[in-house]
Amino acid sequence: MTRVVLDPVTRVGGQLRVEAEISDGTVTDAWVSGTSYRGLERILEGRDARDAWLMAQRICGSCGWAHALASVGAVEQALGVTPPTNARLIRNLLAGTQLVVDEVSGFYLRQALDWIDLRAALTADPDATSTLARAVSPWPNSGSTYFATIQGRLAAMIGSSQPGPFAIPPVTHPGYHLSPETSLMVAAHYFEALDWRREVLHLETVLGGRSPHLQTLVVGGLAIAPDWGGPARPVPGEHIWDVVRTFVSPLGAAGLAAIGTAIDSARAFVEQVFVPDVMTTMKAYRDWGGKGRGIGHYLAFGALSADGSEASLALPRGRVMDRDLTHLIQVAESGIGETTAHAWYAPGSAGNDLQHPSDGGTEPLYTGPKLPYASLADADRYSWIKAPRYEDDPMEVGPLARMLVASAAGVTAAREAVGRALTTLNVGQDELFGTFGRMTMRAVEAGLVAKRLTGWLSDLRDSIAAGDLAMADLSAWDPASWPRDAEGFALGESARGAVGHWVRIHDGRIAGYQIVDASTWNASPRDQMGRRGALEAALVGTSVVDPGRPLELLRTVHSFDPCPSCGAH
Amino acid sequence: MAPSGADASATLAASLKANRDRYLAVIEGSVPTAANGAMCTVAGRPVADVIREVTAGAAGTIAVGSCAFDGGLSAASGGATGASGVAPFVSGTLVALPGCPINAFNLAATLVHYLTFNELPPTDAGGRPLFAYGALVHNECERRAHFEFGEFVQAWGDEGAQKGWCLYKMGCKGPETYANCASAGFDGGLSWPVKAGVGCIGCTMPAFWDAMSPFTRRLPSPLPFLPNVTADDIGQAAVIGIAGVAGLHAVGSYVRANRQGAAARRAKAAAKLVPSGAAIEGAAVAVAVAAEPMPAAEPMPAAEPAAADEAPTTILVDAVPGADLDADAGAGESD
Ligand code: SF4
Repeated sequence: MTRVVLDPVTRVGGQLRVEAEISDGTVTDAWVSGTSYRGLERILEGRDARDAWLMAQRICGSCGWAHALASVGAVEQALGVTPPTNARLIRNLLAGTQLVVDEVSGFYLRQALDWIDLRAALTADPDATSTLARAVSPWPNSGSTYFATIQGRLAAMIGSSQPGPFAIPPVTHPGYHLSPETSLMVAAHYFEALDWRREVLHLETVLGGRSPHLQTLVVGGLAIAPDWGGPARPVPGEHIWDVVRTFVSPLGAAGLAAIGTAIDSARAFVEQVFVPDVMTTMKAYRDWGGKGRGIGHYLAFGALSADGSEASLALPRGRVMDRDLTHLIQVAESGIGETTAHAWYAPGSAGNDLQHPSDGGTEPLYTGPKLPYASLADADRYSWIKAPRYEDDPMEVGPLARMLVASAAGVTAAREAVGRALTTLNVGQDELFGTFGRMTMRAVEAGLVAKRLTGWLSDLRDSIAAGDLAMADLSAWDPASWPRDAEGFALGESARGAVGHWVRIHDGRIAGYQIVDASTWNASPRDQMGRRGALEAALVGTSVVDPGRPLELLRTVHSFDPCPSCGAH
Repeated sequence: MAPSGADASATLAASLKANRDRYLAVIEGSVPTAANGAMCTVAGRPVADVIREVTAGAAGTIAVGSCAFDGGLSAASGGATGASGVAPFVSGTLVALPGCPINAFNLAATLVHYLTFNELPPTDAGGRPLFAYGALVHNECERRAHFEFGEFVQAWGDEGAQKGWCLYKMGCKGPETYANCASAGFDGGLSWPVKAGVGCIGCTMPAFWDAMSPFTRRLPSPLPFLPNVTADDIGQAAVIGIAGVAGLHAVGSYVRANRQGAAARRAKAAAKLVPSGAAIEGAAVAVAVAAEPMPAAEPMPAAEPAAADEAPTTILVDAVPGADLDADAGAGESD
């Protein structure tokens, strides 16, 4: 029996440690630890509830938007305000675009290097790469000169003493079996994705003031306003100082045009680069179908509501249990609980039992080994991440969970897209339950969401053109109007999966705050009954060729796109 | 990088060795010091050790973001991690680029400066490059003229918001914040929060999560000895004053007191009256027009100023608060 330690796990958000026990080349047990803690929930306590989202957003530089929206949503629910149509459309545009950006970034920046072999990419034939690229996509950057240039860039980086993101392991792993040409094509798109990302995030900068960490949300809607459409000032030159004072709203013609460009660019890249790359890559790894299966319970809180109601969520809410897609099971907020049985926190009022987040607490208490340590897995408590459970069950969240829930919910577009992907990949539905499914469904979902963006933008244009200038319901803006005590929650989705925020307000200030992030679910440690979290469970049973370089473990870890620092917060 | 675990650590070590004294270390994030460093570990070691190791052989270090600058949000009141900026763990030259988020423009500019002149850019005492953190947001703000004319957004989405008026009353911290957001913008100059329509939150300033919040509450009265004066009053009075009520001169200036403890939200100010004209260059006169009998001077609130917006107004004061605040902000942030 061999104990394998992966720490640091690179290409994740924050500090992740994986320990696994391998016997006869197969993982028999696994422990996943988040090894950093920031204490956000406690920091929010005592502050103006209208500021909550600004702080909650700082949980993450990539999925901060999802936390901002969930946080402001929780306070809005507590105060009984509903954002007006325009605000809802803009929030959908922000969320949808960034979901797509995070999914694309997830693949190129965090997962691709587990599947494409950079060493092999250096030997690829640029002409053959060009032929391949043209066969799978109409994307214009596909000439052999282009790929030869990229190959040269890669060679220079890999060969330098500062390879940066393109550092490669000292020896080639036998688990890579992608053609050198596909590797080169995807590596080229890695570079392109970086540029593309910046272009698409213009949308957040225009609507939010900057990216990441947009600043324009307010409790009730949005702070941004359309251009002034009323009468011009009656007395020209009223001001005695000669100053140029022009204001162009983000929602003026130029702003809306910039948003339109970002959206078009998002969709084009997803359809012509991201989806073909993922499909071409994963087609070569059909042997991964059904591996890294894990617990088989999938949870989605849902997101992107057309009219603010749960019924109109573009990504629906629900559960799929035991991989049974014929039954969609409802999700009730009351079914969620967290335990700190194996995490470094003082037991709450519920002891080690599951505690609902609305009365949960967070009291850090490190009881692990003295630093530096060689092993965490032998200790009873081994992570800064709590263990959330739905009615006692560990759940997997993320793009795969959302697509399975959408299919089970009978969403036609999702069913068709999943079906098309299965045909393209030439695999059966059962192969989706695992690492292969997590990798491919991320692309399928990005394609679905990218298609919806244009609709929200045209609805927004229509709404403003029809004279609806309302951006926020300010009926509860003044804390003097608030009840002495109020409670709220909001459930949503980041690219990485289901996100929930719970807030208690007392005398205008935050009295309690709890966050359950996507990576809290996926990278959870064991619970009070000793059951593994989703990622731990998915690692068990993996066959590992070379325990010194457990590439197979990395593939499954990264397929979840975990963000342990969000998970622990 | 593709490798993880021991391979990743080895890749880092090899790169540090091969490039010794020839690389810049760029560090983000705070350093938790509680629990002997167990609140952020890499390969079982406290992250502080990794920072020491990486910066020891660096030609210079750039701390990006507010967390690396002074601990950021983790170091805010209520935090339990003993979070610190990276400075105590860095040997050698350190340049800090605070901001939440950091403006990528400033990181690029710092790197270009180094590549061009072979040295990091000149900084203030806090290690912040002067090119980026030398000017007050308020002084470069495109909405500044509205501030001077007393044209303020009064509620989200109102006429003023649609016309791009000043966000001072909506809590803008631009008058107390040193950063180049207004001139550099984010994302290639595309926008910045005030341009989009929301106040500055002061995210480049020390301890801003505590010092600048609540973020949507307007800054304390620029004339703290008259705590019920609002920016609105100042704006109205400015119009009256400019119309010709010149003569009675009083310029208020105040110096913000030190922040009190981690939980203190907003420091209180000491006020002093100085003869007009002598105080601040370019400052117009302040004309006190008592519309109603002047109330007895109210005692200063201890930790937080009263929500002046809601209080009935009894005093109109003409001042040029902008200049006033400039002088003040400089004094206030030295703590
Ligand atoms: S208060 Fe804010 S919005 Fe107004 S001029 Fe100053 S920086 Fe600009």
